[in-house]
Amino acid sequence: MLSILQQLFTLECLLALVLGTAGGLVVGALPGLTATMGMSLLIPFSYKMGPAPAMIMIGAVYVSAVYGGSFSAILIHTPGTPASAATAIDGYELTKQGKGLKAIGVSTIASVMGGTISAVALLFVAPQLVKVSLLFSTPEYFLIAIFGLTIVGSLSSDNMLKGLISGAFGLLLGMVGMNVVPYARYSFGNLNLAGGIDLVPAMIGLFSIPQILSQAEKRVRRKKEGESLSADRELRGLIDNTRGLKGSFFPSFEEFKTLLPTILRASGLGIFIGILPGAGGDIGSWVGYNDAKSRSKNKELFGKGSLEGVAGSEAGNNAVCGGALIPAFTLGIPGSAGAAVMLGALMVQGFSPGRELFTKYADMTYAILIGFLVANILMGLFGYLVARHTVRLASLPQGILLPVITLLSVVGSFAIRNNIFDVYVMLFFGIVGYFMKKFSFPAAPTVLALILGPMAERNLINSIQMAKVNVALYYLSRPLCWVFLILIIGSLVSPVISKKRKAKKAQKYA
Amino acid sequence: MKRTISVLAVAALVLALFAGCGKTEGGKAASSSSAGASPKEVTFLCPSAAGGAMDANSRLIAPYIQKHLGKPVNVVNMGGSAGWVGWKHLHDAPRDGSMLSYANFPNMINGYLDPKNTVGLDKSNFEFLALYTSDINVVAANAKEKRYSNAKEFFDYARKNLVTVADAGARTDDAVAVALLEKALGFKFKRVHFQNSAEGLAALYGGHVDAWVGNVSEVLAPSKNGEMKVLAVLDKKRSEYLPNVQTAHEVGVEVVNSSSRGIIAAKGLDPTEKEKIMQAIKKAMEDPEQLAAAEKQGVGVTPLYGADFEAWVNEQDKNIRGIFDLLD
Repeated sequence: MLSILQQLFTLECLLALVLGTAGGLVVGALPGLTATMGMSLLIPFSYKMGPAPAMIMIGAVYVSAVYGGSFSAILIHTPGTPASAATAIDGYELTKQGKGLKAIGVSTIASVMGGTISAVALLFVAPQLVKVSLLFSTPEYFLIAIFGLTIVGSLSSDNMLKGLISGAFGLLLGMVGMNVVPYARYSFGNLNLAGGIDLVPAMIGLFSIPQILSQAEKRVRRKKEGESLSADRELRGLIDNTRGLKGSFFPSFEEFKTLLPTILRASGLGIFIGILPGAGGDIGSWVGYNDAKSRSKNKELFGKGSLEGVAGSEAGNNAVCGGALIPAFTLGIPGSAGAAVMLGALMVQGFSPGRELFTKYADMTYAILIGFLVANILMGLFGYLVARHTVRLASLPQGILLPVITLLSVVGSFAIRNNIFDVYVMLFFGIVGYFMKKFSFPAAPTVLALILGPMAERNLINSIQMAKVNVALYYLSRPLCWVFLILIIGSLVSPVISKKRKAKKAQKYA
Repeated sequence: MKRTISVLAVAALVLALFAGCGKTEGGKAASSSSAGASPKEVTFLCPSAAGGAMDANSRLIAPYIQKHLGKPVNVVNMGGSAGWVGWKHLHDAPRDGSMLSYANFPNMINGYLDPKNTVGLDKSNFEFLALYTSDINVVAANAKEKRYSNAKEFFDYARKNLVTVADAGARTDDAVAVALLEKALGFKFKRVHFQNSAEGLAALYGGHVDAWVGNVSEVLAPSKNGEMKVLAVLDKKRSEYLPNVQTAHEVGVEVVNSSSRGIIAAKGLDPTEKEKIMQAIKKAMEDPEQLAAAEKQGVGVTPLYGADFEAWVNEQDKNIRGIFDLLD
């Protein structure tokens, strides 16, 4: 225990914690900047720090950006990150009714509670999972990766087909290089491609360039139609309205008592959704919101300014963060795009997920996990102090902000390996990602498939090598394989069943 | 308000530029030094990403080379393609002593022996300056293994039964060790190529594979903690760290293999610069401060210089050519 605290209470770690949390709030509150963008841009700049401070910083940005997204969602009706889209519905209604500050207060309490509960779950579930992970070997890992791939496509977007296509694109790219087989596949004789596609520049490209391009495009469009000025004025007006924000920050005890069950339920759901690969904070917030709505005694308030709606959505999206890291740290399967970035950062530092993190490097790992827990609490404190001011950042001139992010993307991709090829990889993913965004293909399945695809293939090959008998019999002789086989079949069949059920329902009403 | 924000944003931009420059400094130094004059700085390439043993070793020895060379020696990571992105860069750089690289064996030899490798470079393109560390291969089994508990019993059992053996990847030193064992024993194991040692170890601890091949440094702690038992050391003499473990040689299986790392330069390195660099490397390797730091990190320093190192590489080359077809 002492050695863990020794790792945590270094100047570097504490500074990383404070900077990460504060920076995350800003990234989150700024519309157009997402948590994954901030995190992936940070990897190249943090890898010269020790592993513990680097991971703590990136983790802190993760949680506080997801929380910070609620400020602009509530106050100016613009979700700071996609994970706060559900918050904007009722949050902004509350602001219009003059209860904006209380909405932020509720969002703060819900985010801190959801995040903290999930961080505690991470701290206690992950080591237990690692203990039983020795029962797992390559056949089980292969099936888990396949299970992950089956839900990646279906959960991550409204349009399942687009999600699947996006995932398949990631699978295809994951085959490049000699990651799995000992010879260079699909490298076209290019030495750089022979090593496979590096995850970090790919993530920087996918998560930041499309955002920049579409923001810039918005500007150009508006200018053409002469709307730029009026849109700016509208935004300014919304921001100016927040100046006179009054009322209490914290809800009354009575209100808190009615909100508590919502927060706890949304936290539980968020953790569960986090553990599932592919479903991130955006899904977590909608599930939390819908659950709050369906169980509420004041359903009529939803859409017209319900504190419960804000609480459900915000507890849900922050609970996803910790939940998503559970399979990431123990099995190497990221539960969300944010967890995928954390995994990428961990690998850049030279560590592999799994058992060794909790045995050989236990001190470092627990320092990171406790740092993650503290960040969840610290962000509430910072939010209390600065929430109402952060929205003013939304009027930051995009003409300055966007080039800075572009520059950071280029420099960051280069700095990781001092290889200009990584910059090209980043740009390739940026441009492809822009068109994906334009035609509403989600980016997360691509990243997750880029991780899960090689993992599935590698473990399939290894399990064939390990089988002394017929491979199929080898799989069936392992009880845990049965569990995952059933899960896979379930996740493949359930969309079909729910579709049929919906069709039946529709028939009834027709 | 707007003004302040603009100023802040510009400041951030300038900072970002500086951050970028700081990181690329090392790379630039190599190309900017003119021929004839002694270069002001030396770039020490680590042909793998930051983190990991290659990186740790590079950052361990480089400061001591700097100390004895009297000019900056900057470690620059350039990973990719199992080291060949970095070594190609070294080969294409000026040979004025401004660039050295770290190299790992047998990985480098496996790389150029591979007919599918498109780089077109091999050992004749490089000068082998000094071997820094050698980590001898071992064979280990699960602590609860009842079928065999030493080298002889293991080889006898494997002769009669199909045995799965885990290694850290199809082209690693561990896989080479397995192939060398097969050739010496005259029968085959069922090879399982994991991605790294940790994955293979997890499979060994979980009882999913029958044996595991790794390195001495990896088994010291777990064998002491009773998590595994080491069956054989693949060397001519017993390891000073594992005095109770049989060598394969003792039971008539003459296999020697290790994971080794050393410092290389491009062929045709300026002779006067080479002399200076060799002197500095020698002093760095023998520097008691460096040796103490290495011991703390569990790195066994086993130096070989110049011609000796080259002879060692040629010997490795010959061994691996003998079993290259056996590798997957």
